[in-house]
Amino acid sequence: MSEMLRCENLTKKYGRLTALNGIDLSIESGKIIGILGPNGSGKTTLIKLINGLLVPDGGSIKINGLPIGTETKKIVAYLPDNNYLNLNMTAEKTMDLFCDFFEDFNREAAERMFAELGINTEVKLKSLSKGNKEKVSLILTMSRNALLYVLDEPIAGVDPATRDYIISTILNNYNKNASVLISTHIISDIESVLDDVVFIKQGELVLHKSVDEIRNENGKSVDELFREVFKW
Amino acid sequence: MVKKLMKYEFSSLAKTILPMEIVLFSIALFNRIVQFFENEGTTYKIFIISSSILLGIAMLVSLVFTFAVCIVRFYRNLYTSQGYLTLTLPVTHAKHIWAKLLSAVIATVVSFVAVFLALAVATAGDVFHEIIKAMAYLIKHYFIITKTNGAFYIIEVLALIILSIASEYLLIYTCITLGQRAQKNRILLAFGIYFGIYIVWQIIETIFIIIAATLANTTFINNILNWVGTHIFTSLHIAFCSVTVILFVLCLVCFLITKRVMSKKLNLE
Repeated sequence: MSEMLRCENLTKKYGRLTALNGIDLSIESGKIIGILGPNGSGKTTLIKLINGLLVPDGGSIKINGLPIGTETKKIVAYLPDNNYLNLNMTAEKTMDLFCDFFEDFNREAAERMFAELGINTEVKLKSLSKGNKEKVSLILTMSRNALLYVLDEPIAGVDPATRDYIISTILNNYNKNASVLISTHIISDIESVLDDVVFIKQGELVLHKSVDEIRNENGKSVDELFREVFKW
Repeated sequence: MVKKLMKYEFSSLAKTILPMEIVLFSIALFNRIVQFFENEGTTYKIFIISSSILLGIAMLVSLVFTFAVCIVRFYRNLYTSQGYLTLTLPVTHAKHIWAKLLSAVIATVVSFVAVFLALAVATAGDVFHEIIKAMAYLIKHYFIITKTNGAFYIIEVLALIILSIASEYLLIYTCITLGQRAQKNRILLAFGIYFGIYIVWQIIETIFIIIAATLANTTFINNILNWVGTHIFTSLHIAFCSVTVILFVLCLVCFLITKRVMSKKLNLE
């Protein structure tokens, strides 16, 4: 296994507020990692830094040995926690865009998933339901043959059936040599698919262990440990 | 990559701008049709005056609308939720700016051409023919009288027009990008920066005028004025070129600031 992501002393501040404080993190390829923490802990900030949407105030990030830039964007598939697609475009046009810019985009896989869900790819995205918009975003992201998938709160705010669909889509479609980072605070549904977990609390990394280590060393599930660590 | 980005820019801009142009041409056509019923009656006068006023407003709105749509497209595509996709495409920030700028300049030029064509539709027939003839006559004789190279003038004027449009877009891109540095009220800050720059520019112009007025009647200024008087067309070339250079420098500075802030200080909400 090679190192897919490395953060060294990563710091990000918003004015006086320190969102991330000296994060050191190393993620190996071929693993599914949960970035866990309550709202406002710094998960999304970390994800935005990985995707080059924010610039760190200190420290460094490397993906597959490369500093954040055009080359890393070629190998990172990102699913933000909000709708990021142009809602005036159709899914068909959005697939054209992904084909034009991402060499690793598998159009056949995306079309197959759209067909399975019965999503009409010829209508504007704004005419789709909220759930279907989220599915379109997920399908487009997971249809890439990326080396690092970064999924920000993919199961937040969706019904249990959609949650199951999202998790199975992630598991069935990601490149098995890649790493998958899943940020969430809903742990019980996703715990079974995680290899490692990273706990972030008030901008600091408080734990980075494999799920097996947590179960063996702490004798607890990740959900139980999370509730203990983040207890008010 | 710039070409690919521009393809999506044009697709997005066309969806908003084309309907406006269709409305413009419809009004121009309506105005021309009304003219076929020319008579001394009040009804005709009401129709022709109303449709002419409407056409004038439509022409103005079409130009302002195109400009606004291009600016909104820059902001929305880069700095709102769409930016999460746009800025994670494997494309450099410089290419994003180029694609937005070139598309906006082309859309603006097309909008000017559309306004001219709408005018042509409204005046189709003898009036338009006479206007074109008069313009051709004036341009041709201007070059003959001044013994100047017409192609050179046309290139200078075109460069000036293109750079004027580009500089206005780039200045606003810079203000919007700098506005993103704030934690909140980002659009308000962008407006503030724009008006701040405008005020500073006005102050510089005023200082320049005061200095020129102070130096009036000095030998230095008189020599310049005498030279301009005897070399009027060369002076015109120098004036064109000077403004072009100033605009080019303004474009370059704005482009570099926008690129720098996007690369080093990006702060997407």
